[in-house]
Amino acid sequence: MLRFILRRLGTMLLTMLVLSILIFVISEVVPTDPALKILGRESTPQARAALSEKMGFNRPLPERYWNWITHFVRGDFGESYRLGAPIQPLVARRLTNSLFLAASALLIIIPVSLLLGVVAGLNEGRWPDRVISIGSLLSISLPDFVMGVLLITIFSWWLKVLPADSSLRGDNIDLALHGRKLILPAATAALVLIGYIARVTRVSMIEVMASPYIRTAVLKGLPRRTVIVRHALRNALIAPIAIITTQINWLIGGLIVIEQLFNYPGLGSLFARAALENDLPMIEASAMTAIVLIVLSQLIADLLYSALNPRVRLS
Amino acid sequence: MKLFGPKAIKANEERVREAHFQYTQNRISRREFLRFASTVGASAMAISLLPPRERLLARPARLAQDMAPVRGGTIYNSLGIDTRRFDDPARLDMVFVSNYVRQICDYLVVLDPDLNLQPSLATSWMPSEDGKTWTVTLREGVKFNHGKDFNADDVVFTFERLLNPDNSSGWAGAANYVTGVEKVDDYTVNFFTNRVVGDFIYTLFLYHAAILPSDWPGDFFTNPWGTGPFTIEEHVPDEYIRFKRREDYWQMGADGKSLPYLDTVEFVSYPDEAARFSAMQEGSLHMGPASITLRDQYLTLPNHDFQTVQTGNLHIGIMKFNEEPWTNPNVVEALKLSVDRKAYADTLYLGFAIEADDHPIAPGMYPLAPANQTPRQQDYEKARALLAEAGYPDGLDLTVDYIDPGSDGGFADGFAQFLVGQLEPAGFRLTLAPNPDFWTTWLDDWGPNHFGVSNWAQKNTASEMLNLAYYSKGVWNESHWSNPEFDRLLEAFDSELDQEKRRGQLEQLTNLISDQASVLIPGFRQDAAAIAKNVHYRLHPQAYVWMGDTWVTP
Amino acid sequence: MEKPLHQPANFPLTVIRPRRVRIRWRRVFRSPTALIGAAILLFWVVMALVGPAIVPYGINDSEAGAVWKPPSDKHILGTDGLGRDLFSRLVIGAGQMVTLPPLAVGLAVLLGTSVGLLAGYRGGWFDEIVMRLMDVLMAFPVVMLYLIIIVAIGASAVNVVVAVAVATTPAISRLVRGLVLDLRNREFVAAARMRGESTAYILFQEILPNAAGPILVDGLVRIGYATFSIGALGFLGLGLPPPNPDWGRMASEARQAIILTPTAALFPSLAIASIVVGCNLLADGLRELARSEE
Repeated sequence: MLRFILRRLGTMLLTMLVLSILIFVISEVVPTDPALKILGRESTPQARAALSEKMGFNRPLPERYWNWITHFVRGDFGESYRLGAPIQPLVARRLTNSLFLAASALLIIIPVSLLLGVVAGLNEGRWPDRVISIGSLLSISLPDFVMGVLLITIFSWWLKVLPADSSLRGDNIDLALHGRKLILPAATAALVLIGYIARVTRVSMIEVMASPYIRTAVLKGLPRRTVIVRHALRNALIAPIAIITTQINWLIGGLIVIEQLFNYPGLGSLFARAALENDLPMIEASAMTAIVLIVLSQLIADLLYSALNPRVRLS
Repeated sequence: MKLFGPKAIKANEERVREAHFQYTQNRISRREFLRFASTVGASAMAISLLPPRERLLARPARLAQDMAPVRGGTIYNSLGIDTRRFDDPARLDMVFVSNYVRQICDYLVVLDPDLNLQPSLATSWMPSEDGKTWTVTLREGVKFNHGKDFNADDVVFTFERLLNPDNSSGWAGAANYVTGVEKVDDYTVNFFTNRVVGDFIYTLFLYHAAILPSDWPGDFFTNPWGTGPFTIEEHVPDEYIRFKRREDYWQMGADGKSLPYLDTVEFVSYPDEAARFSAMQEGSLHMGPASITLRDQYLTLPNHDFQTVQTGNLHIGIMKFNEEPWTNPNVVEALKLSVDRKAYADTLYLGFAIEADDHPIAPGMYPLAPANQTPRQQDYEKARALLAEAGYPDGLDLTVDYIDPGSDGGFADGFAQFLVGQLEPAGFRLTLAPNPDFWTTWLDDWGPNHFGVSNWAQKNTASEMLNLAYYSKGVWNESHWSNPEFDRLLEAFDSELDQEKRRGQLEQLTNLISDQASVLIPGFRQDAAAIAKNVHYRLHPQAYVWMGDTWVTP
Repeated sequence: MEKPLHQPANFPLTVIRPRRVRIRWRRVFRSPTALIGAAILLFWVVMALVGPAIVPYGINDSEAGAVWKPPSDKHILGTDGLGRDLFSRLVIGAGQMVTLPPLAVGLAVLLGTSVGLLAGYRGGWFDEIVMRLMDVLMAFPVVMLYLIIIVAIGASAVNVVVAVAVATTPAISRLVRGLVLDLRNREFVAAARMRGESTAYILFQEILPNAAGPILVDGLVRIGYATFSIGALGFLGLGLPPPNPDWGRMASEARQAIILTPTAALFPSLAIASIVVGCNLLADGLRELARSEE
């Protein structure tokens, strides 16, 4: 087990290293002049040259990368070109919000998708299965922004029950104050994933129900209910839970569209605004933060999965 | 300095009397007369020259509120675009961003929503006899929010910073005739100019010129020091900034106590109009900018009014005068002829705009501005003929540079897309190239077959606008247009104090731009905002937002 | 959007089963699912082809003052914020929506298949390094990857295709590698090796044809997601530059006028969704057919 963990840790570090280089190199390709961006268009060429010299904008790429990554590791993310403010507190704040949104979405996704998948799997070919399958297909096929627009149209404009604005005010997320604002973005993210996970659960359930040991259990005369709850579920849910852990990637770094759509102050929208305005240090810091988090969460997921299913370790 | 003896005062009185005479002859309007008088620091005298009945009307609008303001409360306001760096007021380059600074700092003078010049930290001002030195008297008893007393040192400090090229301030360019500033005594300063500029006093209200204390150590984010009505309570860049009232602000409200009326103001970032609208519908946003094209939708809001104000703000099509194909005046004229100005006003602003004839001085928005002439009529046939004559019988392919809609809320983008359809039939085939760094390359040469689109806020004076963007040496002369006759005329206009002559000169200037300059200006838009019905606020035509005298009924 | 990258071949129970799927195209008519999917896709292809001939207005023609109008006789889907006919823009916009995603996926399949074939067949350190790299790429949140690429190289049709292809390649190479590992030890490959055939021959004549089915079905699903990614890029303002009738951008802009004319936001959204649905239905149908034939 220790060797397994160490190997995973090594892979993780390597992944982060490669991706950090990738992010840095790509974002340095962005055609923009940092000194001009910081000092503004009224600045004199001398002032810009002096700033470039001071900030090291004119140094060779490897040196700039080294400079950036060593500061990043120490938690110094630099200063935003656009906002002129330190990036680290902003990223920390946005990250908290993003995790909160992701957690809210998971809170919907896990029970709903597993339940739907199990129900569909147990009723293979019958009407509940059909209905759930069609629903899953729609959920898989509707892009997140389409889902969001549909939900906004229905709940914000027609029924007027939920806000289409999820901007937060105040220091921390306060459920009483912001609970309503979280519903639509969390529901959008959830609906996008529910179909996929329900499908996986359904297939898994069908395969488990057809497996020899379940058939044996049924033949032994155990009540169907006991068989399902005691034996089938445990095995059938391994796969979908594994799949859910792979989606954490999307829930952390991929909610950009949803955050933008609802004006939710998460990491994704911070990244998107930075990207739209060539704010390089912000692009780099927010992307790298997302990656660190994703890689870490994948490590945890791997460990959990291997604990659930020891065969993985051997492969 | 002997310049401000009785002789200078006399000269000034002469100027105002002359203007008053022109007003009695109906050659300039009352408003233009009053504005001129305030420019040379003689408002009181001007009002005394008016018949008693008119004196009342000449009072500043903000005192004329008939309802008694209520104190207290919080207002959530959105400035539309998200926050941008304002770590140094000297480096501001957008009106929107200056609105953050405006709550914390004061200016020497202000233009009220009626575009009347009002004293602020300066109480009076007067030009010398030769018009090249301006003496400004400062208000006493004003305190900065960090405790320091306001005096002449702070003014000298502020303007020396602005004039120092190391600070990269746009003010130095916009007021390029200002050569220096000097302390006379604790509450008097002199400004020196190298030529006579009658409208000098307005440059003190350019948004860079927020007065900072002489002990300001730099970085406005950590040291937001000013004499203004609010201080920053909390600032989360890109999300919101919360201001809280100061107890010892110098300016008094209508109830005789210190402004501001409000306890708290929060500017919330809503770059996306759909979310902004939803927040208003939810009742969590009192006010924010609104697109006029969505007017009918805003009218469905039960608790908000849709307020509009005519501005001199304009969209401009930039043709680099020194680059192909714009070196040929026929091509420039062909492009101007291809745009239907009524369609512009109707489509982009549902008619809430004045059609323009390719010059930037909006009628009614600047003193002495020429009345609206009939703009060019769209004439595709003539445009095609001109193009053919210029050697482009099959039309022209152009790349259009402008600021990315993500950065300016789509102001430039809508206009650019509108032009694609308008210019197509004449043979101009446009490829749009929005760019988030447009403002850093905007003044450069773009290379052949480029066209640009940008957006100008109304300036304080016609002179300021023309000096910035049309004077051949203007610091923001984006089209690179240069015309010696225009330059000469503009210098004469600036130094002329006779209002009637100035009117004629301004008309000549605008005609020159309209006929020859390589810019397309199809109209002057109205600005709109949705404002909660219980909020007492008036939109400023220059997009300035000042919450100091705003109040809200519970 | 990440989904295609995480419908991984390395999990035992997934929707896509990378077994040998042989598609008999004539059988498509037996699967109603596949038929519906094909019909939807065909509809948009036909729209794209005949669109320019049937639209009542040009995509840049604006009717002065007729801004954000709901559907009427004159404009059957209403108008947008510049008084342009939405129906015309939607139909003309179909052209790029049926060409760019297949192009992007085609490119990704080309790249991914080459990498996957080589890595799977050669094995050893080459496989190890290449696949590690692909895994690393797959850890990058895809939307971020798109945005960062587009910001770096600029928004244009070509660049959007490149960005989507780059982001899609790792998953395809994983799938292909898995297939190759499975096929490499089959008798017919061993036989070819015994005959002394060249590596290239074995890869392209023996292995690839047998892997083509699953790659195709997988590609179909990915075309759906590429459509959705391109839509999302447009939605974020980084798609094809204006005034291009980019469905994602159209949907995004029209959200603000949702009370005045809900159709303006809904139709472009649904159009994108319908292509994704079409691709998924067709792929599902094909998979079912393949399974029923086994």
